[in-house]
Amino acid sequence: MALLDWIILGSTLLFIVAYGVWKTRGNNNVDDYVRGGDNVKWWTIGLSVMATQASAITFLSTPGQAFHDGMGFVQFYFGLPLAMIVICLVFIPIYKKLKVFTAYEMLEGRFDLKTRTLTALLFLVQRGLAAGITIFAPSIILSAVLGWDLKTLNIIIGLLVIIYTVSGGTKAVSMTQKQQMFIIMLGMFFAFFFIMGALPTDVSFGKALKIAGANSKLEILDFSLDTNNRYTFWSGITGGFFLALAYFGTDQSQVQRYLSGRSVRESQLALIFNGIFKIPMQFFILLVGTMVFVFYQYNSSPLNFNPAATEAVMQSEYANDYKALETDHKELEKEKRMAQHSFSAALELKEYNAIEQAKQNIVKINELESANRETAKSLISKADESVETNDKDYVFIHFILNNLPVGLIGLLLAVILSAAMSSTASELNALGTITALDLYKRNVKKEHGQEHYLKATKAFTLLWGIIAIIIANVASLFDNLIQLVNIIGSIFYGNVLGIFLLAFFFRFVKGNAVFIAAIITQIIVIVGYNLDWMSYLWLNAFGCVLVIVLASIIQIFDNFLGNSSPVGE
Amino acid sequence: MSKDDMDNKLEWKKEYSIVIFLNAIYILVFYLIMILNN
Repeated sequence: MALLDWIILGSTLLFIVAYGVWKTRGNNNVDDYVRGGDNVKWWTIGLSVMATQASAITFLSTPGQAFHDGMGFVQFYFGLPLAMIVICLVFIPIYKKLKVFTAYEMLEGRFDLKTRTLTALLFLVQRGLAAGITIFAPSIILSAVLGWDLKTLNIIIGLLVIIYTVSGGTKAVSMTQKQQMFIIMLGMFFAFFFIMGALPTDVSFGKALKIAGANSKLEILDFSLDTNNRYTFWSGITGGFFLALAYFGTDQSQVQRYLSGRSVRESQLALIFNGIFKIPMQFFILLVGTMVFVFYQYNSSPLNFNPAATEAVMQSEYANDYKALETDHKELEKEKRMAQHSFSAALELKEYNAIEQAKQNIVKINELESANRETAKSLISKADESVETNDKDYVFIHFILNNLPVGLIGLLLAVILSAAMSSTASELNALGTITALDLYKRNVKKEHGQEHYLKATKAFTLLWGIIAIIIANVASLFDNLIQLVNIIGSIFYGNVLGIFLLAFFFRFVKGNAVFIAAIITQIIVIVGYNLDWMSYLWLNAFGCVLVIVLASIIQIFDNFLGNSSPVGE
Repeated sequence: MSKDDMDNKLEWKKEYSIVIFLNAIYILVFYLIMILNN
């Protein structure tokens, strides 16, 4: 990396940290620290909500997803705007009316302390692990491609976040996320326009879309009911709705963002902002990935984008086989370039038979290229089972480092690290708050002043920061930790969402019924996962429905026996 | 906390209609991009 890149990267990150600390100096009560003093403006909250969800992996992995599988992934977000409306209609007015500090505080008022504590614990397990992975996931990729030390990178990201999150709390998180989103979008726009400029002069944006379309990268919508397709219009509207409702409505790392709004209206406007801009943002990131694909139709690309995978196979007995594949790959690339030029010329002349013929030729070459890439993956697996063969996370970073000019590389690395920091900051902020207010304040110590709880929240935020760094540093010891975190999320999320929906919509159900149902549901969901009843992605909906049904049955049975307890016991 | 604290009159606002309308437009645009380039 050039000196200019280091200067841009370093100064961007240090500015964000210093800005967060400086803007929030003098926070001296729990309300300021946890809810940002209830006076954060809607556009700051809106950007903060978006920045919390968009982690570094979003910017590393999503363009790679488009590169390999096209833009259908955008359908995954189709349920999100509907979830935003439901949260604006139901969740926000009640949270604001009750003036809660955490989402789970509402559950104590509606049900009882044990239900609040149970959901807070479920959140801590899931989000505590996720915070470590939010740091680890970009670190492992950046260390692989840049040769940086993995543990040092984990510690640097973690420490930068700890400095302003511990010092300034929610307001610092929101303020810095506004800057981070600006850097992120600026970097992505620069990358997009650079790619467009780097394409051959006869390839306009319109033609680039045609090339992407000819290569099946623009199959954006899939209306089929085939459950084998993970991303369809219907799974996006239904599964995506459930997931977004659980994440934005009950996950404290998101709830804490919009609780900082100065009024119900400000908080609602923030989520409306997210409902309007989230899909275009994801579409744009996927479009960048698609344009990277078009770029590599005219420029040489590696057989596998993960350098660690290539190194592993080159040092094994399969090195010669792999080299032969690379030679084939280079030949195919030459043919592909000619085919793309023929396609481009046919488009220019509007000769429809020639267009169709060129298209078929491109499809044939791409099939051969995909087969080559798959064979390469199997060789890599034979050489070293522990190496990641799926290289979608490495496509965009490979493009950045090998093709972008000096200065822009530093900016794009700042984008990736900013995204990692913004998500981690929200997570630590929420973890510290939940531990201090839902567990410590309500279960361990009582009757202390504001200052004590402020100090406790800061101390727990620091503690979770250290735990996140430790998890990030041991993550590489476990093969599928990232997947494990997603699975743990799916196992717990549905149950928690179900408890919240019971609180809002099932007024006859009371605390004891919910608590017993939640315990039984959690056991059934874990057993179901172990016995492989369904894909873990569907455990969310299953857990949600199960806890609602069980709690209702238990309550009806309890009422029948005449043992009902009062609401808000 | 009383039962009244959980009472919430669902109030539809024009912004929600805008969210639905714009997202429907996005999907229509995606459809057009897809069919015009395939």
